[in-house]
Amino acid sequence: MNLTRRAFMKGGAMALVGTTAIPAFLTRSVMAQATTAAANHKKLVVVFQRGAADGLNIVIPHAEPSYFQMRPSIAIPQGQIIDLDGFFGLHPAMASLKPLWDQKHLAIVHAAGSPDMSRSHFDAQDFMESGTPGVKSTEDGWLNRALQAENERIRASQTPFRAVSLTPQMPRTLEGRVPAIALNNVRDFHLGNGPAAAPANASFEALYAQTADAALHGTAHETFDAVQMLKSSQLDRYTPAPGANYPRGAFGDSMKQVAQLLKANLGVEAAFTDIGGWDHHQNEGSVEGQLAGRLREFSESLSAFWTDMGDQAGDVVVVTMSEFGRTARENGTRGTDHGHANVMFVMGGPVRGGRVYGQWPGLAPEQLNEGRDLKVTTDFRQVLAEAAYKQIGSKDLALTFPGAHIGAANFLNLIV
Amino acid sequence: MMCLPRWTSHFFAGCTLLGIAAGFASAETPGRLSEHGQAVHAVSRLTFGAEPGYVSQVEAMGVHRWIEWELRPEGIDDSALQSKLAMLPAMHLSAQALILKYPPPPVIRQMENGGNESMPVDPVERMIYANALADYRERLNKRAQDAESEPAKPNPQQQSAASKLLTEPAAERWDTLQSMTPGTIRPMLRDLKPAERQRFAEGMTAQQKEVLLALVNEDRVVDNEMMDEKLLRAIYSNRQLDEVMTSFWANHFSVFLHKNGVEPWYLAGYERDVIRPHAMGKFEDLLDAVAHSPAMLEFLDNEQSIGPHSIAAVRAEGNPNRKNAAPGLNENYARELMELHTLGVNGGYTQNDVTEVAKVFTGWGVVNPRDGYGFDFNERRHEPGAKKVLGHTIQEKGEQEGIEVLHLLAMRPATAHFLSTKLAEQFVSDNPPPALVDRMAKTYLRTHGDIRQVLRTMFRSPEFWSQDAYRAKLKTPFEYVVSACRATHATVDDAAPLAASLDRMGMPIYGVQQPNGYSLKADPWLGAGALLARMNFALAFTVDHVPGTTVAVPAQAANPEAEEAALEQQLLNGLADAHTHQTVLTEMNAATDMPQARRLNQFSQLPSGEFFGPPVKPAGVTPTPATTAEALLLGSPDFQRK
Repeated sequence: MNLTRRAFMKGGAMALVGTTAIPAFLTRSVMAQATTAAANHKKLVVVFQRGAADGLNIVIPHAEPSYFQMRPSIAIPQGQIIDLDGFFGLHPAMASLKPLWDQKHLAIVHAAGSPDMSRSHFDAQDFMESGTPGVKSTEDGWLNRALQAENERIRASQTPFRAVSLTPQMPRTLEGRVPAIALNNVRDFHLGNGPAAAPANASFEALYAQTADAALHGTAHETFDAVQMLKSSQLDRYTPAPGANYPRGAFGDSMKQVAQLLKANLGVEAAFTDIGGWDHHQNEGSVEGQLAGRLREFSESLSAFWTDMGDQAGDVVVVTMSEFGRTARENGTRGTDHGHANVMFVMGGPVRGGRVYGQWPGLAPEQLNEGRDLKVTTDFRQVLAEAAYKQIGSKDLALTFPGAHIGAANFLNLIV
Repeated sequence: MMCLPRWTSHFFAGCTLLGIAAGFASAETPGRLSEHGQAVHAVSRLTFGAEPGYVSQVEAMGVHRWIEWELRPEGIDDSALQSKLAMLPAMHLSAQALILKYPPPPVIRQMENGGNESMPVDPVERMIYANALADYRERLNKRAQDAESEPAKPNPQQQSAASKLLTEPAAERWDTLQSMTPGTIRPMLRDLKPAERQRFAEGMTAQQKEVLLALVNEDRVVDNEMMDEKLLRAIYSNRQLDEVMTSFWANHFSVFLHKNGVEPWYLAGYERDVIRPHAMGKFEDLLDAVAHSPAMLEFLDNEQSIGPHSIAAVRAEGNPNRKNAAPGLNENYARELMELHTLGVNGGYTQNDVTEVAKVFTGWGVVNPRDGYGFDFNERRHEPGAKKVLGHTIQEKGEQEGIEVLHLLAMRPATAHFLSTKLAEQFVSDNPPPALVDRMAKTYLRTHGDIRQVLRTMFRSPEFWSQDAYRAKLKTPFEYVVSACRATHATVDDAAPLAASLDRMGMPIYGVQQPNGYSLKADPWLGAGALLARMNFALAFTVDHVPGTTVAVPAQAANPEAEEAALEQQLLNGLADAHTHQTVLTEMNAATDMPQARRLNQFSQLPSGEFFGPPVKPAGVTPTPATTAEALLLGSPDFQRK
C-alpha cells in the first residue's frame, strides 16, 4: 500500500493517542516524539566558525617551544593557558568550557581539516559545507545528504523542523532534497505582525491550500504547519533554564533558539548555526583582544546551551568547524594569515570527552604544511561522518560524503 | 522609432474588466495559446513582469513584432530610466575614480599601517578619508581595550552640535561639516534619530547625500548604489529583454560581492561595461570581455596565478629571504572557465586541460587592484612554452594564447549545448525539451555564437509557445520583487529596502558565494522561510510599509467584485485561478467589516533603508479592502509563477 507521508502521520498519531480530534500540528508533535524515539531522541547541532579561526591560539600546544617562538606578540603566556592534558591547553577566554572538559563531555580534534589546499575563505567554506572538497559542482550540503541517508522509516515521518538553520538564508550545509527551514529568529517566523495577523494568515493559507500548483502547495503546507507549530510552542515566552546565561550577541541568541527548538519537541534532528568574525589578519590579540572577545562569546554560548539543555543534553552532540586554520607564525601586523589545519570541538552527552583526538603533526619548520601551516592529519569528514552516523543514523556514508571512502573503521570513536 | 508609452495608474479608467479570462482559446487546437495568452506568456518571459496595460499594448503591436523590437534594444528610448539613475552619482564613475572617492576598507587599513597612499587633495575627499581613518583607529582601540564594552552612549556635546546644525540651511550645514574635526562627524551623524537623518540631508544634492552616507560608513556607498542600480534598471528600463539578458549573463558569470574586499568597486561597472554591451551580441565577445575584467580576474584568483617557470617565479625561487612557498599556478579561473562559463561540467575536459589552461592565462591580471586599475598582461608572470588544450597545441605568444583558448572554447559544440540549455531553462522551463536545445545549439554553431539568433530560434519554436511552457516557471525572488513593483506601478525613491527584502527571500544581490550563480530552477526558492518572506513582502509593500517605495493606490470601483476584477486584470492579466479569485473576494468582504486598528497591526515591517533615506512611514497607507486584495494577489501562488 502506498501511504503518503501525511496519511502515515495521521494514522500513526491516531494509533498513538486514539482520537481523531487532535489538531494537525499536535499530531506532528506527537509523531515527532514517536520518531525521534525511533532515533533514540538524538540530535546533532553543527556550528560553523566563518572566517578561519586561529586554532593554534584556541587549543594551544603549549608543550611545543616553537609555538612561543613563532608567535612573539600573540602567543598566550604559559601561566595563563588553561592546561588540559599537559600538552594542550585552552585559551583563557574559554574558561566556561573547562567544566565540560572535566566532566568528559567535551572532546577536541586537533589538526583537522580539508584535504583541499584552498586558502580562499569562500572555496574552503563551500567545500566544507558541501562535504566534497575540490568538487564545486556538488549541489547539496553534507548535512542534508546525511538526513537523506537516514533509514526509510524515520524519513517517512519527518516534521517541518527536522532540519533547521538559525540563519537568514539556507546555509550550503543544509541545501538539498530534504526540506529544511532557515529562520533568523523564531520570533519573526510568522505571517504579518502580532496576534492580529490571523486574518492574513488564514487567507494565505486558503490561497495555497487549494492551489493546483503542486510545488507551491507542498512548500506552503510545510510553511503554515511550521508557523502553527511554532506558535503553539509559545517560544516567545521562553526562559532558559536557571544558570544558562547566554552572552549578548548574535551567536548566543542563535544557540538559545537552538535550545528552544530542541526542547519544544518539534522533531528537530539537525540544527545549524554560524558565528563570524575570525579572520584576524592584524592585531589578533593575545590573552585579551579580538580573538579573545570572539572566543568568550563562542564558549559562553556553548556552555549556556549545555546548561540550558539540562537532562536533554544527554541526547545532543554539538560539532564545531571552521574552513581552515591560520599560519603557525604571526605575520608583520600582529595577526595571522590563511593556513591549513584547525581545531574542532565535539560536545555533548554521548561524547567521550576529556581527550584531544587526532595525530599531532608538530610545529617544527619541517613538520609544517608548505613550511607555514599546521598539517591536516584528520579529515574533517571523519568527525562529521561519525557524528551523523551515530546521532542521526546516517548509515550510508558514501551518500553523505561521496568520494571520501570513509567507513566506520575511520571513526575516531569520540561518540559513544 | 516605436516607443511604448509608460502608463499611469489611471489606466483602469478605460480598461474593460474581463474577470477571469482563459489563457487558452477553447475553439483552437488544445495546447495552443490564445492570442491574449501568447502576449501574457511572452511578456512574462521577456520582461521582469508586465506593467499595467503592457500586455494590451503588446497585443496591439503584434507579439512577434514586439519580440523583434525587444531584440533590438538600441532602438528603444530609455531616457526615463536615465533620470532615475541620476540619483546614483557614484554609479557613473570608473573603478579608479570610485576607489579614490570612496576608499574600500583595505585602502584605509593600508594607509594606517604605513602604506604609501597619501591623503587626497580635494577637500571633500580629504574629509571622507580623514573620517574613515579616525573611525578605523577608534575601532582598533576599542577592540584592543575591551571586546565586550557597551556601545558608547551619545555624547551630549555632539547631540547639541547636531541639533544646531539641523536648524541651518543646507549650504551652511555642508560647510560646517567640512570644518569639523575628523572623528567627530561620524559619531554625531550616527546619533541622529531616524527622523533627523532625513532632515539633515534635506536640500543637499545627490552628490552631497552620497558623501554624507560615506561619512557614516564609507564602504556602504558603493554596495548600496550598485544594488539600487540593478533594481532600478530592472523595474524602470524600457529595454526589458536587454535587462533580462544582462541579469542572465551577470548570473552566468557570477561574481560574489565580498570575496577580496575590492569586488564592489569593480562590480559597479561590471554589468555596465562588461556584460550589457554584449548581452545579445556574440558570446565570444562577452567571454573575452569577462576574461579581461578585473572583477572576474580578482574573484577567481587568476590575478595570483604565476607560471612556475616564468621570470617572476624563477626570481622568487632564487631569493634566499623568501618567506612564502614558491609562487605558482592558481587553477581557479581555468577550471570555472570550462566548467561554468563554457563547456559545462561534463563538457569533455580533463584535469590536464585545467592545468594547461591555467598556464595559458598566467600573466592575466590587474595592476594595483586597490587603486582600481584595469586589466594588465604581465609577461614576467607568464608561463613560457607551448600548451596543449583539448588536443590543440597553443604556441607561445603571450596574451594571444588566452584569446585563442577563449575562441576555441566559445566555438565548441559542448559550449553551444551548455549555453542553449541554460537559456532554455531561463526562458522556457526548468527541464527544457532536448529537441529545442539541440536546435538552439545548431543555430549557435551556425552563427558563430550569435546570442540574438539563438534567442530568435527559441522565441520562434513551438516549444516556447506550448502549453507545457505556459506559467511553468517560478519567479526567483528578484523577479518576484521587481514584477511586484512593475505590476503596481510603484515609485521607487530608495531601492535599499527592496534589496533587504531580497536578503530575506534568500537571494541577496551579488550575494552568491559559489561561482555557479543562482539557480534558474524552482527548487532552491521553495523554502518555508523564503515563501513566508514573499507573503510578508506583499503585506508590507501594498500599504507602503517598504520604506522608499510608494505603490499606486488601486482605483476605486463601484463594488468589491469590480475592484477585485480590476486588480486581477492589473496584477495577473485577468488570468487568476478561480480559487484564488474566490478567496480574495471573500477576504475583501471580510476586510470591509474589520476594525481599522486591527488591520493596521497585521503588517510586519521591513528594515529601514539607507541611512539618510526616507524613513518608514509609521502608518503607511491605511489598508482598505482593495489593498488587502492587492496583497493577497501579490502573495498568491498565481503571482509566484511567470
